[in-house]
Amino acid sequence: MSQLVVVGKEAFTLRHLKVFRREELAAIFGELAPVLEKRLESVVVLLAPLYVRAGICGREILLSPGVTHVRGAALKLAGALQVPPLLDADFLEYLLFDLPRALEEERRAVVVEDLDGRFTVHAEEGVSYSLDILARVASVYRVPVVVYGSELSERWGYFSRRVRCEKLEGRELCTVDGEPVCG
Amino acid sequence: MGEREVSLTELSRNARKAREILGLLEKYDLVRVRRKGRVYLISLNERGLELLSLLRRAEELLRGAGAAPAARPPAQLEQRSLPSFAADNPWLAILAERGRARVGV
Repeated sequence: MSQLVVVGKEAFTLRHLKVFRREELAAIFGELAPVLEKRLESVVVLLAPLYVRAGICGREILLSPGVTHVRGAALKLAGALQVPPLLDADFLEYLLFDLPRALEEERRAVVVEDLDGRFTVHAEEGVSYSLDILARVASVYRVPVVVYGSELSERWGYFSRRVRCEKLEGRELCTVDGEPVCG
Repeated sequence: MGEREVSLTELSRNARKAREILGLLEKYDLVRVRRKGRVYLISLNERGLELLSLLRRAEELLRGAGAAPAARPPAQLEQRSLPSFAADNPWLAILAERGRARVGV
């Protein structure tokens, strides 16, 4: 367990605070931010990467830490942490504050359903920001994050893997990083 | 990187790219590198910090800011080193406000 720091009404592990960008620390913790930043300078998170196997059209693929985008398919992923169906600011708040806490208890793959539908306003900005937070969570906790989405989220340029399935002439064709896996 | 100390993977998650960036920074004598076990910790040295401050000044001038930027309240989001998606992104301020209310500092 990473060391706990109590800030205001909440306790954070140093590992959790590593997820925050400097600008977020400054905006949220105000004058305490420089103290936290100083504290975080000497913190190096060393965790073994978590790899999980996921099933797709009868085949298995290995997911490594990072954000995987899935479009038009449902991966079979056992024991993953499902992000609750929250919207807008509730969703972002969960990603930055509550998801790292859940991973502190047990590191697991994370699944986000319907990312493109999580924002009722400013959807493009919301999707980009949530993917940025998820990438930081995946990087600090070294877990795979699976995001189900469509056109909007697909534009983001930093996915570690892209899985896509579509129906062509009645047959399902699935690709992983552009390489056909079935169909 | 800014004034912080970062690991090689924070420079880039692509190991080859990270080495390339570190090589360039070392070539121009801009960084200090120390090792903690198997982890490389990289921070800007005095020369690097000076260059960073010059680059920030140049950025301000290019944006037409002119003189030194006015002091901003600490609670406002500092977007200087945020990635491009963050420019004019309303969710950053909304989440910051949520966070402040939640933490209560």
